[in-house]
Amino acid sequence: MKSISILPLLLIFVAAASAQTATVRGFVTDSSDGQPLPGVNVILTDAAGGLSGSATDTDGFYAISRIAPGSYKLKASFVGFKDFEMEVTLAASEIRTLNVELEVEETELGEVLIESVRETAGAANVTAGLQTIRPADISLVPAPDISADLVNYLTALPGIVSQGDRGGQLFIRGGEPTQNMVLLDGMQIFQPFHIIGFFSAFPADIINTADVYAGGFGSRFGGRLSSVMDITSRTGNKRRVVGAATVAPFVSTIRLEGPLLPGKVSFLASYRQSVIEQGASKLIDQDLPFEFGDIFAKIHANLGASAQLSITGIQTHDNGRLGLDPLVDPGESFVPDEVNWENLAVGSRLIFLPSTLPVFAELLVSYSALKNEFGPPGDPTQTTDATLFSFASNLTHYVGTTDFNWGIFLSSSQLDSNLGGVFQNVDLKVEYITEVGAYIEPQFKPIEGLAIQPGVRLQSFPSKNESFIEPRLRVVWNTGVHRFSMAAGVYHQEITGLNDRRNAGDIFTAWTAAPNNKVPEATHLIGGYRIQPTSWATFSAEGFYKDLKNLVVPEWTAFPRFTTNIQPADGRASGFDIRLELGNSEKFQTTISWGRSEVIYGSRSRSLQILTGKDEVDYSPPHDRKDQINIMTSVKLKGFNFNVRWQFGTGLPFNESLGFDRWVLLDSLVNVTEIPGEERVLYGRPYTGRLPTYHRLDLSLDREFRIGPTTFLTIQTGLLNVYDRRNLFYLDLYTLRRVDQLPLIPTFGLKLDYK
Amino acid sequence: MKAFHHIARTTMLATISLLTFAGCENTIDPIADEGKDTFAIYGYLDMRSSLQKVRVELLRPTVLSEPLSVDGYQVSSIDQNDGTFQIWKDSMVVLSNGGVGNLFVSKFQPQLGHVYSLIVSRNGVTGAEAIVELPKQPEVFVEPSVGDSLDLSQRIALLGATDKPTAVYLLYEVIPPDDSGVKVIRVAYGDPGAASARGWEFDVNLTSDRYVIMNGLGLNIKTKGVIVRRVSMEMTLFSKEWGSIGKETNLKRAHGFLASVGVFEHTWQLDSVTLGKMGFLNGQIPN
Repeated sequence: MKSISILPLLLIFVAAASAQTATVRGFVTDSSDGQPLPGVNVILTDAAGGLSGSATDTDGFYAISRIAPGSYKLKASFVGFKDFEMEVTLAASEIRTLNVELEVEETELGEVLIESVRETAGAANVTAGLQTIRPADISLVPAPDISADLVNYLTALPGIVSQGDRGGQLFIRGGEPTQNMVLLDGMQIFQPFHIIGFFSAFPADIINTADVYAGGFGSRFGGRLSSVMDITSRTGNKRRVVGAATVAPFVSTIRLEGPLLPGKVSFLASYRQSVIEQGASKLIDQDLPFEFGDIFAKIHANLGASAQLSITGIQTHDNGRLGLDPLVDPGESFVPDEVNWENLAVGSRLIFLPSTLPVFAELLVSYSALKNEFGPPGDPTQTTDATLFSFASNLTHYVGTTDFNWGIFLSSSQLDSNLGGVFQNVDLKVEYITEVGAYIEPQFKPIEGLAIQPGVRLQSFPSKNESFIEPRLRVVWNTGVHRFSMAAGVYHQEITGLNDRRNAGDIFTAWTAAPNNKVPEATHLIGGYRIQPTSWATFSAEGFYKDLKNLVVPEWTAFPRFTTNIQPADGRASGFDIRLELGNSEKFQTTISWGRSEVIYGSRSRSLQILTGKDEVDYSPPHDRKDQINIMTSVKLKGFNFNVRWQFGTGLPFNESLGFDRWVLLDSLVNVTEIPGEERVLYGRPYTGRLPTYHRLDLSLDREFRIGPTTFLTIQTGLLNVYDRRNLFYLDLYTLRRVDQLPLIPTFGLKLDYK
Repeated sequence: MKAFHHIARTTMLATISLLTFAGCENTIDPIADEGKDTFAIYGYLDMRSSLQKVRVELLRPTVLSEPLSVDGYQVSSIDQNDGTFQIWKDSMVVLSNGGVGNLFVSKFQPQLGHVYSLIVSRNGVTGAEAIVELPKQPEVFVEPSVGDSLDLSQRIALLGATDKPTAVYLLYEVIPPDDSGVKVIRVAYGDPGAASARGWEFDVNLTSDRYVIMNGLGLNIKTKGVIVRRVSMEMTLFSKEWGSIGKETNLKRAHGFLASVGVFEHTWQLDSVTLGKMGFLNGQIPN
């Protein structure tokens, strides 16, 4: 209601402020395929040489407002494209929509670059927790497949801890996977990372940009404690039909795109299917019981000069067996538990520019669903079904140097989980959760280079009788070669994911409302510095602190096989990361990053007090990786691309056992001379052990050959885990049997590209 | 620029240091230090028996491993009330699943209210220790009987008792009219009653007990002349450990369960009026 009363005031203010000035705005696209171009500098120059300007966002949108009436030269420039210039005369109060098509630059040989050079965002280009990723960044990382994938790049960033080659779980700056919000074109994807850790639902080929907030995200986002990955997909080629197909040991893919109405409506479709059993499993002569795939489709339409509509759909599926049976000897046959999950999301996004207001408006409607099962194949014991219907409206009013961002949102979730007795004290029922709210987040630019973005998010859950007010703040100050940034905010997560991290083979997640009406809460604080002394060197350092309350973790007792409850815990995550990037993506680029962090959970549960004799017990959860180092190098020489990545991570915490006994239930006068008892593992304090360090070297080499006027063949070869490091995925405490991550694997791939 | 180069050089040095010192280790010790030489103890001291039995085993490193030998370990107990020291004997038993267990036995009968220490040691060094107290003897308060001969009952309160007494029996020592000698009739009450502010309370149903007694003596219910010599009750009492499985522990450097079971007996006098309502004659011997 408050947002509704604020709206007219805002409109009056905006109208008054822009009465005597003019606004220029529009979309910048690539003339060769109609794709929006983010990061294009659009500059207005007046007769006296005065400058005002803006850079395009992920939609290729720019807006320059509060311009005095008069004549100007408008210039749009971007690497790899010819500069665009035109004279513009603006009258008072005029709002001019001026869309720009940039033409690709010709090479020295006179060839037109079919695929224009797209900039990398840079691994060291992090601003108050925000890392922007472009497809060109992803292509610098050696991958087991010729089709690059977003997750492969994410795991190369400091502060992001992966469960390993299998499992598909990411922990971001101390947060758990269920505390990450993943959005694709505004649609929430519950569990987007595939069961093999190299792959997600987001192949590089369909990505426009990915904004990854490792914390400190603004008021536009909410409902998660840890991070937001806001991914926007590409639009299809609006000029001609193009496509690609790849074959490789892990995944085969097909992508097709083209115009439905040339210049106006396009489609983009991608299909990927794992071929591990036929490919990688045979290469290493090892059983890799994993199968996954995804289908993506998008239709994008220009509804005139000032409006665009896109409809996006994605479906993913994963299936695999990660566990061991502790009571079965190695070599004996048994059927391990199986995990599988399916995501489905469909959504539409309408963006439009009202003709009489300097406003960018966005309407999002989406439906997301997740089905997750765990247990014996065909007879799962744990299941979860989650559906989410979401509506959101985001608006930006451009008033001079200030951008007024605000929006409203409404969502309705249905969560139906069966835990199969995993947590005995959780009474799960079908939950219906409605969320309504609004946010406002103006961005002030009081002086050159300084942007201050305070915000507040109001969200209410009528069915739970809960409401939250979440203050946020982001500040960025660019001065010369330096950039200082900070972010802070308060976050709540009403819809939580429950999982049992004591068993690494069990990656089942039950989605439900916050148990016991204690809504998990986080407070973030981030401070960062970046320096770019030359065009080929960037250095950044960032520190963070996250205070966590009302977390839900498995109860810790000396006999976990018999009491499996959940318990509340508080926590904190803190650390810093340092990144150094040298070179550029055209010839040579190398990135070195070091992330250091500490995650501590503290619990005052009775069972831990009995176990330890202390009132409050602090422990490191299983994703507390203290140090991470990534070194990536990419060299381009004579048409060859050579990529190297070395990863290093200190060991993750694990449960040390005290040993095993045969547990006799003495609930009556049992004869202990006869009853054998049940096998039981006894735990000490939680997560006191550390697994060995993780490190691995990956290489890849590829070259693209032109085999027709617009047809290209890329051949890729590579080695994963070059020195065959036995990195541990998990240790089965019952048997001390270890499950290792992937060994040395030679890879090769072919990609046929019709551009 | 100078600062920039310095930071870059520091980063490189940190990287190389980490590579050198931390990269090669790939072994895991999955057993926590406090788990080494730790025992599992299962059993209970039983006042109903003169032979006490407790299973004592070393914790094993994996679920698949065979039970570890406890050769060289000694199990002993001390009655902290009177200082009696017992060394328990080691023996092996075959369990119902065919496996074997280490059983330690000792001949003694624990006493109500006594505190016992059970110690597992080797070469005089204590490995594990457990302290268990037999239930204390409760104070009994017997209320006057209420009702007529068709519905006659008497409330008994165990003052201060917190746990339910089990296997409660009323014992009537009676002499039949044929003067065939003293007979004892046991009337089973199971696990009667409920907790109250006073402790634990239950009702003795004297009317129905008469039917049980007459039936036990093989007499018609209307037969007169049965003499009651003594009325008492017997019950089994459990130590507090039984009520706190998984919540508290009385074991040090050991896991499992060690508790105790006591037997309690109490005699009281039924007044002549009550016995008259029951149809019996009063021949009780004063306490």
